[in-house]
Amino acid sequence: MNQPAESRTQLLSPFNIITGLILAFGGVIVILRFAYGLSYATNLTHTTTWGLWTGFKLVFVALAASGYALTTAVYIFGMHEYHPLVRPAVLSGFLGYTLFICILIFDLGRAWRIYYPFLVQAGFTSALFEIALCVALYYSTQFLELTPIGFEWLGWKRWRKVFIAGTVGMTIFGLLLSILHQSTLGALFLTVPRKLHPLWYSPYIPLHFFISSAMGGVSMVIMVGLVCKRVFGHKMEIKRETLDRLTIGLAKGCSIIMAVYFGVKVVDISLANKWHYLFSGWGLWYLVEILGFVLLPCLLYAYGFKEKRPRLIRFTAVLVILGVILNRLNVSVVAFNWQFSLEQRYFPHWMEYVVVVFLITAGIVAFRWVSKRMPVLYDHPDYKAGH
Amino acid sequence: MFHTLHDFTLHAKGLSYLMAGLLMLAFIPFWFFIVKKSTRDKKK
Repeated sequence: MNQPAESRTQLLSPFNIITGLILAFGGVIVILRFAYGLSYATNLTHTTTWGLWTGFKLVFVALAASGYALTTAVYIFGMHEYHPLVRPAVLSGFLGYTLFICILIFDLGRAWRIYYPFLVQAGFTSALFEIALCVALYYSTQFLELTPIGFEWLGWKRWRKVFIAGTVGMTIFGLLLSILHQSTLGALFLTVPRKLHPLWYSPYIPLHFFISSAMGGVSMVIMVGLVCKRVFGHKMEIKRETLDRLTIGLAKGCSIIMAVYFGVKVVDISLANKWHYLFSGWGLWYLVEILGFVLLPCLLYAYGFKEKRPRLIRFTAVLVILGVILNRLNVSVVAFNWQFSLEQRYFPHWMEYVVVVFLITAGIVAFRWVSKRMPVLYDHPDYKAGH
Repeated sequence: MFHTLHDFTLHAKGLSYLMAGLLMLAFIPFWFFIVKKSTRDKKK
């Protein structure tokens, strides 16, 4: 089912014009960053070396958990009714990791040295090395999981058969890698106990990051399903009623995950006796995150599941995604170096915001491009028996 | 005010066990709320 090329009027659609302008402007900023250095495009200093881009690295990886969440549900737990959502979820996960790699390169610079951790000097005792290795392997695994889409588009049946046969193995490998790197991203902050506010710092922060990635990933699947149905409704084979039923089912699982996460966070506060921190400005902000973006969505998901209300569930998914973004930014930027005075505090440069918007736009454009041309939202007519 | 690490650990862990126990107890009705079929589904 190859789609015809876009006509000139379609190329100059409002979406293309707006995204084109964002990509052009953002591209210029990225070039300036590499031409003039980090100090030109960011407010990072020797005392604040992690900024908005580091925060969004964590955000992109957390929300890209849609890939491992749904493939695990379908291929390991046997929930085959969610199969129509697997490809959009894996594609959004793959693009999420692509954005992570891009923003990492923008932050670190020297992109030509990307292979150094693997071939030149591996830091086996470093958490960042483990993250690099796991992300590289997982990115490759996700690419392999997506190759059947490309082969179906190209009509390469034999190659497609080979890669489809490895789906379960790739899913298990991907799940292992995801558990490792999602939690290790949290483990990075174990090295800075004094810099991170006690309410967010915990010896169990790797566990917090892993569980919140699961709930972020499932919520992203709900959001991706909704957006795809709205934007690509004519291409999406799955009926609205079926999508609503799957959304309701995902809400059940996410509600349980969020209840566990809330419990873990509460026990963590009591283990370190951090109750007195809650009665401060930082504590109020922490309560906003935990009560407004964890407990409330947990209850809304449960209610939405029981009352079969897909619209409420979709609203809640947005809340959860915002909550994950808030948590990651709180840990890496807002509550980081919390003891600094206002003059010493880091505030992102406007160019940092532009680059983040640039990357998110690029991800959306890429998702749209692939979904319009390749069998992501529908089964290829030659392979309708299943994949 | 805790004068020794032992005092602090005893208090903190004791409270934590209590919180964990209460949360697990609270999880049971939550689980049944999620899993149990509603009367609307039963009538269908």
